[in-house]
Amino acid sequence: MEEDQSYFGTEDIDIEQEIQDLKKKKTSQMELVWLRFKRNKLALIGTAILFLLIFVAIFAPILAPYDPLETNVARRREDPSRDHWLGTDQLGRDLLSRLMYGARIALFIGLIIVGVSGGIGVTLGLLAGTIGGWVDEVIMRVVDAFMSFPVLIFGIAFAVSFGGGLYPVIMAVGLITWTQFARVTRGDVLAIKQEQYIEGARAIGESRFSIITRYFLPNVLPSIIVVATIQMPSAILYSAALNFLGVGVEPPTPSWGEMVNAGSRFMQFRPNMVTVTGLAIVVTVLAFNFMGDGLRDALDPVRRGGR
Amino acid sequence: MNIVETRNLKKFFESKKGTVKAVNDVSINVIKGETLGVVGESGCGKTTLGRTILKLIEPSSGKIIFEGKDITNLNEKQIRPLRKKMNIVFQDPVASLNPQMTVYDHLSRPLEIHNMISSEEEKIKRIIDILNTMGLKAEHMIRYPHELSGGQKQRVCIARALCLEPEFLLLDEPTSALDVSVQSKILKLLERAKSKFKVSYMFISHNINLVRSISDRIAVMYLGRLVEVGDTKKVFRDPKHPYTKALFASVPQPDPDKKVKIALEGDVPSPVDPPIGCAFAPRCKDKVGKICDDKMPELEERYDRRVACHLYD
Repeated sequence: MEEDQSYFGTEDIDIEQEIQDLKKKKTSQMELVWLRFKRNKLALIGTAILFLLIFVAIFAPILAPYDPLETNVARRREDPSRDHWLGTDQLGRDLLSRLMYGARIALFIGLIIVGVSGGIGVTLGLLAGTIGGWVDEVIMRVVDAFMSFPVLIFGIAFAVSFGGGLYPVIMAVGLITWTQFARVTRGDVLAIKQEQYIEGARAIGESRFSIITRYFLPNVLPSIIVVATIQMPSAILYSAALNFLGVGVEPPTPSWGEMVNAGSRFMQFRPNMVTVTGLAIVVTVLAFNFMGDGLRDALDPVRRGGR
Repeated sequence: MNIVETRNLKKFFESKKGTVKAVNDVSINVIKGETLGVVGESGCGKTTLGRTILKLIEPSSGKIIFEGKDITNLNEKQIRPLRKKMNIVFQDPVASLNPQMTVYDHLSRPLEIHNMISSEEEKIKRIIDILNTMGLKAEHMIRYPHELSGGQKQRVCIARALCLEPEFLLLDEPTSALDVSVQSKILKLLERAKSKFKVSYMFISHNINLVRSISDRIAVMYLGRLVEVGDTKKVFRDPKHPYTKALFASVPQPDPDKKVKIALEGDVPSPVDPPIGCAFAPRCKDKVGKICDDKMPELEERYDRRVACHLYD
């Protein structure tokens, strides 16, 4: 009898029909995330700002009214006017154009730094948390050591010894800001380790690797996203700060840090340059934070601490 | 023939207060095709015993024999193929499912790991089949655990354990989180799997009535040790060990005129510092004398079962 071949084998199932039905009913995972995400108004605003920023960064050559490198000694340090909406800098370059081109650098730097530090941090955090013992000890002491370095000093030293420029700065900031990723990942892993579903995974014979990739990683992901959205703006800030101090993007390439630096020199009588650039940094940072908050709540089906 | 057997199994945990002797010198066997009920108060080591048998935690000493093969010293990798043959259903269905995996993922993983299926279609068919048997629908496949009720979650857990068609299933209070109607459905399904496929169960519970109705044999645990093991009917008709007697007496009867007797007084001694003699001696009403406090009674064959008590020396 067919019935005796399996525990179940109750009735014949029209598999095609079932799959068709399922397809109709299934709201895809992304749709669900989006449904939850759009309930958070701040997150939507943040995302809109970021999209605008990305749009501006990509189409800067078309959108910018002037060449950001074109100087005009006759019209230096001007207040906003019809010709120059945000005014000009100390060399008579159009501020709006420089701000637009600067967004390219800022976003690029933010992404790469978070990628580097996230990659290092999450991997080490997972190792520390899952293996434990002396591996955990060693990794966490390294984290402590790195956390005690002042980021800017390390950044300057590292960048200068590798010849300055953009990439040494990116590497420097990436190499020093991974600690937060490692700590958060490890902390989450230690909590998840106690969960019964990890024991359940072992009971069905999951390998160590599968347990890490299928059980630990998806469950730490919401926290990692939050850290990433916190790290992203601070990466932009750090690189701006390093720029301000003179390492990183070489002049005359427009970068926000360098612009704040230049503007600060004549802040008393022409505050527009510092204010406008500073505002751009603040808005970008906030937009990332808002979006990250919304993403975390939307991605986590259990919605720990979600609204 | 035994499907699972332990010999002098011990599991000690180190704690700040000292060594907790959670499972102490337990020798027990589950015969192929039977249901062995394990009862005892909270903290007596039932759950630890179960987990140690499945090697989810490492035993401190003793032996675990599965299908005649010593599995005590197998490492995680070596034991993996055996995981197809033995499985566990935990007490808390909420905690036993990965919140980031759908029901489909939960049921397809065991099939994938043990190469139980050859095609995607077969897998889906199989999963739908299992879900239907468990009283769930195909549409539940795309649900996440938090979208299911407690009873549905536990059915998913049992489906996951049964979909590999194991030889031995450890049920750690599988129905205590469910309401009565779902309970009986699940017990029926377990019964059916047992009669058809000779799957053996070890049913851990503190619900004495439940154990009585589904077990062939019963083992009573107290403070990490077995005190009485025997045929369910015989043990219930005539419990020998004073602790078993007290335990059965404290089960509420469905008769409002009968008062619940408080048969057990005092607290369970600490497993960190168990009595030198019989662990039950400080609470025992039938103490034979000084020997109860001085000498640990062995679990010996008495009458038609095994009892650890000096009363029958």
